[in-house]
Amino acid sequence: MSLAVNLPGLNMKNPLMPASGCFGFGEDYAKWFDLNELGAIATKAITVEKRTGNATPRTVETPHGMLNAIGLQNPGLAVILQKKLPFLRQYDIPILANVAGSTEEDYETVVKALSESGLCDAIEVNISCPNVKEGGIAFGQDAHKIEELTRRLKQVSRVPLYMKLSPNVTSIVDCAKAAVAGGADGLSLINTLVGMRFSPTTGTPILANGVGGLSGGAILPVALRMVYEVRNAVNVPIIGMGGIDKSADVLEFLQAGADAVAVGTAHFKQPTICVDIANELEETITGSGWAWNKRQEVGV
Amino acid sequence: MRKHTLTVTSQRQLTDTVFELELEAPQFEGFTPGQFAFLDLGGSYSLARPFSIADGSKGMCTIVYKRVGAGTEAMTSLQLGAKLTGMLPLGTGFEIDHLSTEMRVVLVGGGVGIPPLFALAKVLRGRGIDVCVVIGFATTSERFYEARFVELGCDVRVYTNEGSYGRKGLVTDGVTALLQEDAHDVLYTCGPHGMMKAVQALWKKEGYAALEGRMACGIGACLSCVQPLHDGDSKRICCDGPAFALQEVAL
Repeated sequence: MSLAVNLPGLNMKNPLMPASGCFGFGEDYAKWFDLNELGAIATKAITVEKRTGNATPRTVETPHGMLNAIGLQNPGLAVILQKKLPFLRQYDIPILANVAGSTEEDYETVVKALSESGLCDAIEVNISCPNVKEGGIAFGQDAHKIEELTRRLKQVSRVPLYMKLSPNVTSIVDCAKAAVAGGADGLSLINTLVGMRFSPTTGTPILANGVGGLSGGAILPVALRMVYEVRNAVNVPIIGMGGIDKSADVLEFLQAGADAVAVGTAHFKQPTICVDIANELEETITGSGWAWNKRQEVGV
Repeated sequence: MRKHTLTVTSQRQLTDTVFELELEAPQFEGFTPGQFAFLDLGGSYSLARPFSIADGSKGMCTIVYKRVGAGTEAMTSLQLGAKLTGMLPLGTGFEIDHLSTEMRVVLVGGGVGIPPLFALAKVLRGRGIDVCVVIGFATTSERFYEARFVELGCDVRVYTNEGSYGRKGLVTDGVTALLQEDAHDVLYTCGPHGMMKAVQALWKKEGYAALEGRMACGIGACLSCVQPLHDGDSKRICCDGPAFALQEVAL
């Protein structure tokens, strides 16, 4: 059985990629394993200008998960085009460049420059970062804005566009339909769920930002539900993510309707997690008796 | 690099809240003082925890930890033979290659900032370098590791807040006294944030500080543990540090 999947712009040897924000631009993890073994890579969010991010503490552990409020720290488009993406390009893996912004013009600038650079194969648009003001969530919670932004970005992009949806909405299906109506080539879901933790001694939020995005095993059932609902509503490829840390989780996402998956938080305890899962996945799928190949024919 | 499988070979309680854990780590080849072990407790703990390495040699690694939350509470019940996994050694340790026996070194520590300074003292004494150690504790009952520094042949000065043991005062009083002696060239510090900030304000000669930070990945990718610098930029405690030039960091 081949584990290869073909999604718009992303010719993947296996359905696993590191999720945006959990893997930087790959340099740190390249010391741990050969990045060529990944199905693809989703980069950290790229903004027009350099961003220094939020004050610390930026992360806090939660039961079966964590909250983060990094604040889109990244060196900015110019440095990323000059140094970060060329580093990743030396590997034989498709690059899904993640883009964030505060205004539609910001998004447009970054999408245009990235898609013209030849340094990425597809773009994932983060319209769902909960951790910075105007970090995209303002776009991501309004179906009309999602459709407008998607349409606008499609006009300037030479590579396929994946809209990364927020789970912090009343109807994920409405958001997904809006993105598809705007011309999205694919969807990524889900981003983190907004949460808080308080210090028992000070009575104040632990994160400097107050709120943060919940990720990890705790959100897996929510993500599966949303992938399932969206799968039944639209006919574009879905990159599913949320709490995956073993091959059995990937199987569930594929069964829910994802065409590929991203692994995020699990990298922090196991840098080689994507490769470890990829190595077990065929046996897990075969052992389940579930016919993945039929699924692969849909939506591609 | 791969994660290590570690086996508990000893667990000792040093004070009411501080514990020493000795781990067998077959793939561990050694470390630079200031580097840390990133231990995965498994179960529902979704993040690993960083602990500076107090001592270690090929195949063995010792860490000292303070019981502060559920994770470290769970660690106190690790029995002999218990297995856990971890990444080690991680981070950039103290800058020490340039030190010579002509130079006199002072180590300033408090609380669980003291163990990495023990690792440092061991290496420096092994190279025949004179080491003065200034360590502070709130009370007599919180003392640990003093005897180990003495065994290495260090000039050890212990401060307690109430003066119930050693000298009365804070380690910063010790630093002030050292500045008056004007006999030391290089300072290394590790301890509570406020302590290191006070030391930074006093010591303008060559110095280094090992910092603590909330980490998620431990290897530089997640940008949780960023430390602001005086020049407006920031560095990552997990990989650019934990050890930094003392005057570089905006504490």
